[in-house]
Amino acid sequence: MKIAVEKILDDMKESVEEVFSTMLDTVATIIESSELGDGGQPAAPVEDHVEDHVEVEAIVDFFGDPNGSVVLRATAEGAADIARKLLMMEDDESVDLEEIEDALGECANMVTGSLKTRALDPHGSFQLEPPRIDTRVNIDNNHHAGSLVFELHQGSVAVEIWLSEVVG
Amino acid sequence: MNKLMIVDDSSTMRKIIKRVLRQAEIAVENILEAGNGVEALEQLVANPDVGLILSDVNMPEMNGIDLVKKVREGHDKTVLPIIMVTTEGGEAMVETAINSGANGYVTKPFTPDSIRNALDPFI
Repeated sequence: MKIAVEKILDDMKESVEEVFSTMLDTVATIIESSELGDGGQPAAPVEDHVEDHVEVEAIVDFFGDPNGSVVLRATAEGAADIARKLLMMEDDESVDLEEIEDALGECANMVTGSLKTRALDPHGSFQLEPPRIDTRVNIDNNHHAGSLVFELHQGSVAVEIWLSEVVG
Repeated sequence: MNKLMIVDDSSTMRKIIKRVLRQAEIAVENILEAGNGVEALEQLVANPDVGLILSDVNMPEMNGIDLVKKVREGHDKTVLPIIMVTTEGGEAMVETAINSGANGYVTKPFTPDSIRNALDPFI
């Protein structure tokens, strides 16, 4: 099945907003939405907002028609902010790296699950892999992608979708 | 309720569920935790008085659906309710879980109200 990246970005925005408002009690303000180039190279908006400061990346791969991945790439401040909010901690409470990575993985998992139900696979034939934490996403060169960048209370987070097949 | 068990491979999600249970004012004396279906079954043998299980679906070793099937070999739905708490919100997965013996289903992301509504019939 071929999916338009523009349409999937609209659905992914709703999924991110749902997860952040429900589980993090915070508003994720979108500051960039862009379709990324083919060949596995993130386009400029992600570079501008997150790339130089990436500390944590959480990836959830999915298998179905099409295959793909959802990637959350956060600044150190953004990842810590997500962990504190998810664990209902105070803004000045310290969080350890394991909690930060686990929290970002859970966010990626929930965004992917929501997107799967909302747009990719309403009938339930897709398989989601458990979230994994990486320093650099290894995506197949033939994949196509779109990206959303959100400003958080502290830091920012980019959410990318990578698909094996797209239209438009 | 005396004992409740949370089954999820994410320790962060287990913490979140515990806090949400408190927010939802669901009084539980003892909350047990397990990281997958195998650990949950071991916990259940050691703690036969567990009164309710909240379980994720996608987990290593043994997933939530297989856990439900195993538990139902020895525990009726009315004796030990199992609520699935998972990102897998599709109709097919909900149907699979219920047909396997789950009593209810909550989709992540969830609110304290959605957890309370799912647990209310059993507490």
